[in-house]
Amino acid sequence: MTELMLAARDLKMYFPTYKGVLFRKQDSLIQAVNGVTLDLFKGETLGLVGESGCGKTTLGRTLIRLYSPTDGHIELCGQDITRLDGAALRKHRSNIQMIFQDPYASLDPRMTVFDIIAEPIRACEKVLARKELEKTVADLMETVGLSSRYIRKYPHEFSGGQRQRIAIARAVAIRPKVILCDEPVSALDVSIQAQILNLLKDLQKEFHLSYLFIAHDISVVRYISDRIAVMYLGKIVELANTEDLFGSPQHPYTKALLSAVPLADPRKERVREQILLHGDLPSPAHPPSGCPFHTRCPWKMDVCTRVVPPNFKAGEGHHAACHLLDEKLMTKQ
Amino acid sequence: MIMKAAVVEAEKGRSLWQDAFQRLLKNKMAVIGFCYLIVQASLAVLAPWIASFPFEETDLLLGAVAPDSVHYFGTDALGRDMFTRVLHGARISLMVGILATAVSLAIGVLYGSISGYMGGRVDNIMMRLLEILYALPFTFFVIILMVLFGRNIYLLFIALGAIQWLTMARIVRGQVVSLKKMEYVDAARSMGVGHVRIIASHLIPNVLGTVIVYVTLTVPNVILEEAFLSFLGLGVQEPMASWGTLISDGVGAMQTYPWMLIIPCASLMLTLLALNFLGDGLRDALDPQASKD
Amino acid sequence: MTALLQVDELKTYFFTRDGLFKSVDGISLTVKKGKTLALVGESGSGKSVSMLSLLGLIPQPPGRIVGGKAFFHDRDLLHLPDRELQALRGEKIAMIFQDPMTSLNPYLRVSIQLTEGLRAHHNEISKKEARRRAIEALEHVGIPDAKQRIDRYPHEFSGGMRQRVMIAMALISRPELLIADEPTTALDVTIQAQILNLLKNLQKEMNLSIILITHDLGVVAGMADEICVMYAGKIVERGTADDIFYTPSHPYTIGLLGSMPRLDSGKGDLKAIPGLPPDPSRLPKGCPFADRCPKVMRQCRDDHPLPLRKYSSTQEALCYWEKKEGEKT
Repeated sequence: MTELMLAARDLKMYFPTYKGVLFRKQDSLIQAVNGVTLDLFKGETLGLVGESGCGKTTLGRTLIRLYSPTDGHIELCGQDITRLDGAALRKHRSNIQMIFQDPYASLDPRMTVFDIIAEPIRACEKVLARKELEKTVADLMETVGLSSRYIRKYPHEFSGGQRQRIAIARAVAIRPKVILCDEPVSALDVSIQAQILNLLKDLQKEFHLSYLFIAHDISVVRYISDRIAVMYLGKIVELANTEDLFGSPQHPYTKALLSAVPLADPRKERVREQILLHGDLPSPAHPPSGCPFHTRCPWKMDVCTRVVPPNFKAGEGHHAACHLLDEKLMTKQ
Repeated sequence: MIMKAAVVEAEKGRSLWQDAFQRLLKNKMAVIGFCYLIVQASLAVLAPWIASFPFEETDLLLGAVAPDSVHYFGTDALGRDMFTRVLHGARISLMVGILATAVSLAIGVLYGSISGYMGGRVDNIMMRLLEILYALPFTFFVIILMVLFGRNIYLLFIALGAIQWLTMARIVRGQVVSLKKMEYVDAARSMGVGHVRIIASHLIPNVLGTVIVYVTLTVPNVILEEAFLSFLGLGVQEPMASWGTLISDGVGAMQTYPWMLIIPCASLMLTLLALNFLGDGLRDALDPQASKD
Repeated sequence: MTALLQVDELKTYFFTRDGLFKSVDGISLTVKKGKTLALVGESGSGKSVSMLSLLGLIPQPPGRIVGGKAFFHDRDLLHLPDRELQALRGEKIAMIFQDPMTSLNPYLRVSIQLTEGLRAHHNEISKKEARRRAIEALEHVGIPDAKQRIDRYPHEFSGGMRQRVMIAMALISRPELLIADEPTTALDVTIQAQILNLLKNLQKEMNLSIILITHDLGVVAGMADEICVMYAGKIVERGTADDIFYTPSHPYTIGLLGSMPRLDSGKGDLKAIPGLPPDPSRLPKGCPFADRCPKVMRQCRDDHPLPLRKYSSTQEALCYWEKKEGEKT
């Protein structure tokens, strides 16, 4: 077994919403992440797909401890970081870094590229002389495919793809073990997207990085991931190796999701069978009872509205949370 | 594989500040306003050396004379040279404007950024406190201060600044609240950058643009308020003069010696106009999206 | 087959402080009755600007339509008085946008926004009649409980439902041409599937012509009868969906297809197109794609109009390089 880099155990992240100005009363509880368990191993890419509002971004931000989880545990490189704070947490941050979706918002417009990329190095208190630091940053820029001539430039002087390269250089600057990629290519054009995906793959090999790759674009996730977790309404409904997930999806939601992706092939597209889902995602403030997907599931059974489905094994390293996989239940019916 | 890079011929980038400055230079009115302010300020600073008469020297025998080649702006009823007095008035008025704004800047930026960055209950309490202070009638407040501590020019700075910072704090807080949600702040937090560093290196530089614009609008406000207080007789004390006291004196002599009113009024107006032009230009330059392109 | 819209050599330039932007640099296209034409390109390729030009929605200044013709039936849209163009907009030609949240007014009930356009074009329609037709339109686009929902505000609808409202609004006066600008980009994939299906069904039912503007080749494959690939203000290749996907002949189209991760083929490496699109204010001489093109030749950078190579009756590419039969790309 390879080394476990990042683990979540029954992780929950709830956000209370408030009413009132002076005397605030709790209105409701948004259950953005609702009991997530997952492992990220050394050198692998774990894809996390789901539609907007499913909680994938919140999960990412909770894992990197931008939020304090409501319940559950997070382990980073064997250390429990669930409740760490302040300086103790800061020490562990050097193991995990993040790349954000919007390369226009994630870089401070008033800083030079040098200051941006040097920021994590300075933050983790590796004291370097200015000359040395400049050398390090210049090397990083070349590594991500940017000319180090641009070290004194400002973010607004770059295109979207180049800015994302700056963000990537910043993320690998302190040689973290885990990088959390939150929709890193969804703001980019297709031709640029491919450049960035290939760069991420190259860096992974070079620095033995583990990626948690969050995205809504299933083709992108398939391209980059070794394993994929499918998230729906705060829960992981299916997790499998990439080939298994696409070869034999088990959860009805996964099936619907995969069948909804348009194919870039007119002939296949003409005969593609779709599972059209009706209705919208329920509100995470009032998730349905039982299986979270039962309100839209074409194969809904009685039990689905009452009992939360546990994880059923569907193959080696492949499991899905759906009652249809419960052999005992299905033979009874 | 890491390529060895040389940092020798790094291209200079153009920061947002430089961009803004370039845009500002294209705005004629703002440049004119800026130049006028420079001239006005240097005249005020050099007043004791430029003016040919001491500002408090009276010449009762001379009395009030209209502007001529000796007294460029004429003299007042006590025979004091108006040119000298307007220049010295500028010293006081500009100093009040700048110092009171500085006071408001210091308190307002600090208060606003702490309130905005901390959020939650702290923010709530700090903002309610601000609202209570807003509700106090300010003239009354200044009058009480003046009565309690006597008329003192430094007290005036503090009193005016203490009123102006309220709005400044609100503006800064609003900016910080929205900036705090920017991904680059999250990015910094996820990298383990501390709170103080985040405020100093990400938040303050980014609110500065808005703050500068607001400052150029605060300075004329303060000058006007000082003029108003002086007009009421609460400002600087005789024989010192500010534009406000000069106007106040001028109003009394309006019908007999009109230059005593017109000249300080014109000085005040031109300065305020210049500040407003500059402020407008700065706003457009710092926030190009807001202005029509 | 009759052409509903015929655009000839449309040129839209922007004259700004930072220079001249040739956003749309001479494009020609034909939209047939009841068919879908897709304009595919990356951001800044001029696909949206070209369509906004047709509707007279370009901010002028700094924008200006410097040349071309666009015949809709027998009227030239580019030289129509504002009044007549406005009458055409919404009535015969409707448009839907990427973000249904910003294209609906958040302070007005959906009912008002739906009937507004209808009553603007036909003042003989009574309020009651307009409302009846609005409810019908909402039911038509698959909004359940349309009778109740029509009096709600936009924020009370989900993203997918808002896009349905937008479509209902566009189609309420039964236009002949619908311009859909990235209609599903802001939506999730399961919702996208719903909306695309809806558009296809409506098209059949109403014999609607659609211009679909998108950057997503996957969306295009199932929707488009004809595809125009745009790059830096020019249409670099046009053809049927089969032409473009199975025998692409412009190096940019080939690159675009190669750089797209897909679900239906192996997990081989993506062949990214190197470099960046050119700065639209400093377009190079000759072919704008030359700097990124693997097939670049010397004449590509000459200051001559690029040759239009015809591959079949439906397919042509704006390129010096000629793809040989069966050549591997």
